[in-house]
Amino acid sequence: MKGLRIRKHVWGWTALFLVVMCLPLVTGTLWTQILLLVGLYAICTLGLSVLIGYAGLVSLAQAAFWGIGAYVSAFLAIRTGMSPILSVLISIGVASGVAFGLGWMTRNLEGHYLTLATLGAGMIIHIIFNEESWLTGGPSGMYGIPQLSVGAWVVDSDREMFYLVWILLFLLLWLTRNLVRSPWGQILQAMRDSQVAAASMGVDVSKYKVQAFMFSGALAALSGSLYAHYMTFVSPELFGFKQSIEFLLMAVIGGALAITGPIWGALLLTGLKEVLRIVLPLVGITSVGPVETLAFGILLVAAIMFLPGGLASVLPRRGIGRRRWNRHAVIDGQQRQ
Amino acid sequence: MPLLTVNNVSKRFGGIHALENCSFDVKEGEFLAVIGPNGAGKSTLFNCITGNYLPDSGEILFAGRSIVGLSPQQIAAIGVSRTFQNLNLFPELTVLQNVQIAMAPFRQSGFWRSFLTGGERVRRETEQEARKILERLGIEGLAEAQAKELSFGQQRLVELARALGLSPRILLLDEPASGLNDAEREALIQLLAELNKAGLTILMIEHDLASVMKLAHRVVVLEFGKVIAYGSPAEVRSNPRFVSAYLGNGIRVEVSPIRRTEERPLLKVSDLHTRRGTIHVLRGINLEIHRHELVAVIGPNGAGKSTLLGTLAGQFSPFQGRITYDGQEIQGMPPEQVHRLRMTLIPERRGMFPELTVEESLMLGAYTDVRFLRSLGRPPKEVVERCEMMYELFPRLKERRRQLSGTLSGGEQQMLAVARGLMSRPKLLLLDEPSLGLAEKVVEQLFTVFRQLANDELTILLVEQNVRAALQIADRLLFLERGQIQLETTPDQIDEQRIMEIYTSR
Amino acid sequence: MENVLQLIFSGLALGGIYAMIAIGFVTIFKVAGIINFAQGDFAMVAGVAMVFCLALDIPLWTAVLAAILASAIVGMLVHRAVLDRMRHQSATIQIILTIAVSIVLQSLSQLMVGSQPKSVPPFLAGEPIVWLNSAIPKQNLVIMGATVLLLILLYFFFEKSYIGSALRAVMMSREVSRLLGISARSIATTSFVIGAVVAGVAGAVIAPITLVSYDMGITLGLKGFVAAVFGGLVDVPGAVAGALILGLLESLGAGLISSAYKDAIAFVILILILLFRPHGLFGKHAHRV
Repeated sequence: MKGLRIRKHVWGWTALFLVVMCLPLVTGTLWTQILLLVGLYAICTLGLSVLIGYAGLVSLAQAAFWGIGAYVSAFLAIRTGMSPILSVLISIGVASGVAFGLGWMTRNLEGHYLTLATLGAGMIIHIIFNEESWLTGGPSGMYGIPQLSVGAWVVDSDREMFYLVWILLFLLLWLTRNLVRSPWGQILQAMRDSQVAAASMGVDVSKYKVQAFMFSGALAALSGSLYAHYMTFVSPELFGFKQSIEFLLMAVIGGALAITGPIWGALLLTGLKEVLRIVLPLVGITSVGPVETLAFGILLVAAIMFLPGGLASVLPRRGIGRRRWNRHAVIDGQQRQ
Repeated sequence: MPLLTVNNVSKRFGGIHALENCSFDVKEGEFLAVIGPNGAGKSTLFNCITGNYLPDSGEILFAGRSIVGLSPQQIAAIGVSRTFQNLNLFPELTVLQNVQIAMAPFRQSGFWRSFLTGGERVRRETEQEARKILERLGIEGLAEAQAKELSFGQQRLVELARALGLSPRILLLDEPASGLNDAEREALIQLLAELNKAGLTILMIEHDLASVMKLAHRVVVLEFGKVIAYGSPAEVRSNPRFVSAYLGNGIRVEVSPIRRTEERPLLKVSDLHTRRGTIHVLRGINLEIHRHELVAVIGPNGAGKSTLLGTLAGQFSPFQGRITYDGQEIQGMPPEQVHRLRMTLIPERRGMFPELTVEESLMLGAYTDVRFLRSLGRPPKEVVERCEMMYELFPRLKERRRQLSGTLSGGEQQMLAVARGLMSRPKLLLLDEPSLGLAEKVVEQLFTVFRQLANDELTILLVEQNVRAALQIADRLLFLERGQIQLETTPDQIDEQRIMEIYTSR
Repeated sequence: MENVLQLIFSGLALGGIYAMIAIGFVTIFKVAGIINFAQGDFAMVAGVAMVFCLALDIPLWTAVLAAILASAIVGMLVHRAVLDRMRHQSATIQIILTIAVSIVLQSLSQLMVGSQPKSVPPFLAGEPIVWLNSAIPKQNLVIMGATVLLLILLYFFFEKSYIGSALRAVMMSREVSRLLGISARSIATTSFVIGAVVAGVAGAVIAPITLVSYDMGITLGLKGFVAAVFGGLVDVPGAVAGALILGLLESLGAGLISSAYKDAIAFVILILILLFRPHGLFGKHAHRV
């Protein structure tokens, strides 16, 4: 029985993998670039999904960690001329360290209080990005970030980057799948379901919370640093509250479909923006920026309001924890059953 | 040396003494039960032992070592395991996983091993142990089922299995039989007796006195945070303080009842079932209340008395059954709507607005009778007039009209709650444990008013722990136990002895 | 080294603005049970409305009133049309919804007034007033005056009117209020209107200083939120106190320590409160889940 189940999964994944690998061969440069970005976002969202769905910790600071990855790697590559691969790894380490600090500080917080604390931390980090020009180039951003290279081979084409990102993403998806089914992952879920009960059974809740934060931060940094080396330019406005919300939405919306959820969430959100960007001028709307955002906002409101049962109905039983979203607000005490 | 020693433990929450100088011990292999009426401090006591609360004073020793100030994790790690009154499973995980989490090698497994290898070895090792426990409890067939898919009775067993997974030296059970049907309860009692006989030390909170009498070697009785009796079940049962704790203090009400009979019931309840969280509290309630009656619902705690009133008032939505009020079906209606139909609930613990004055609170009682635009100014004259009528009924409130409700005494708050409820001129008044925490004299005054109101054409449904007081004024008594009306009688047909028998036997 | 007194005055003005946002937050949170991420955008709506009216040559003070009215209408619509229908959803979904509403409001404004900040003339013309060796811009006086006036009006509303006592009751215990038949719905809308009006005043009086742009509401909202949490998310006086202290700390911090990190001060305070006094300065019960 178990053997059969594994085989079906492997088929599904392999199929998806093959489809993705063929895409750059059939789509034009524009879509290759877009899908490349989708892949990068998905890596970042994967970390957040584990944090939210499995550990039950809603973080509004994901973009800040994305930024830490980008800036640290860029800074090291430009200033010290070290190999980008090495700087990427160091940036992951730095982000994990900051995530450790954040997780440790907030270890006694729960629910909305925890989320608010991450909000504050994210905003502070964003402000640091803006202010410390010697590190980050300030509001005007950082130019001239070297592209990824291994020895003589430079990753300078969209297609190469695409493959790099997506192969990495699939590898991470597989490892993360391991992780969430492992004892570590199950303890995380236990904590999400009932922190009190987990503690009462002897689980060192703080340790797991911190580790979950570190995992999420590490993935964000990986994605961010790759992003920096691909775009060769970053600026602070990419790493603010707005972006953290977008990652959150990708995690929540994509959560509908198990471990590959982040892919769909990133795809939907990014794809939607691109579609609007293409369609709207056709309908005669010229100032595309705000209209695109408006349409996005309205669609989001409509989706939440009119999807039968709301977003929560679309969330799965496994994968990103459904219970999280069905939990009623405990604000004033009782609620109606 | 006893395994667990609780020595002079006290805990306060604001002004309330949840625990006062509690002392007792649990010997190795013993089965100790902690009982007492609602609000006696039993859960607080548990939480102090398990490290969820920090006692204000006193000492708690486990195997000779002080555990005050340790975190719940640390206390669990040295062998203190527990279950929860309201079930605290990990619903998304399977039964097997729930049990595995409690096992040390599983819950201490590291990140890297899990990331790279999926933690296979640890899983396999702990799985064997876990299955053995499930077998012991007779639920090994459920191992792969997701915890939330199980019935309530099964879930209780899973929680027990999980607690055993910790390989505990002492097991703390918080109302383990709550919400179970008779068959499940019997099976659980058997199971617990076996576990204890095999050497497991057990400390149990339970309302069901019958189970307690069967299982416990010794019993601790708490009331208002203090230990009022401590000994073997037989000793405790015959202790008059124990009886008072459960039946309440006697009072004398001078007003004689005017009893009327009317054919058509004002309120009719058929086959009512309500769930609170995961617990199936009301299991098929059937009752009728006629106009001008004063009906009292008595019964042990956890029986569902508050849930019954809450369901009638619209706070909880029943998943089965019908409530017909004044000819209209009202089950599932929100509380605002029920209130508008002139049924008012005076909640347990009064429901004060601490920063509103007495007068402001009273005026609000009639808020729904005032139209929106009219409410933008001062309260209308009609409301002020009704307020004056309340002052006549409760002169004490008039003296304190400008005082903040939060600063009133318990009795005054109860009067305010009742007066406020009467402001909207209800036909049916629901009272949830009005005597809770009040002195005898005050209860007397209050209950005299209730009897007068019933004589004056108000219909009252009263839920009370203080059986003696209820006997004084009720036209009819309904005995609620385990979510069902077990007995319907009148004050002249029943006496205290019979009631205690019902509470403690079965 | 800036004149400390001057910093205090601007801090009080800043605190006044935050107070107006924070009052709306607390009222909506305690009455309707919603954390309204679009609160700052209600202020922005007023600012945008002012720009519109002034462009149509409507006299200044009329424009101000129109702006506040616009804010109130938007607040009512947002609750009635969107949030009220979702009141049975979980808190997280409601938060995402208010964020979505915020996005919609911002992009609508961006379409109406463009992406460039627009200026609005100060309400009182003239040079800053010099008092005790400090220069106080006249608009700051307007802000402080508006804050005081608003607080007085709110005081009378909450303490003296019948519906005010109902609002206070709901803020103390929503559950018991329902038992008294106090309808969650119209009360919740009222709280939204109050929140929007107060935010509208804030948006109108700060417009001459900060310029009106479609995204002016974001930081305002966040800071006002921090102020509300600082005050304990309990009641209006707490929110005001928290906001004034936050304004002072921000102003003093910016002037005496580092003006670059001015915005960070609020968030550092937020984290400190959450860690050490999650129920704020004045809140009584920690929210034990």
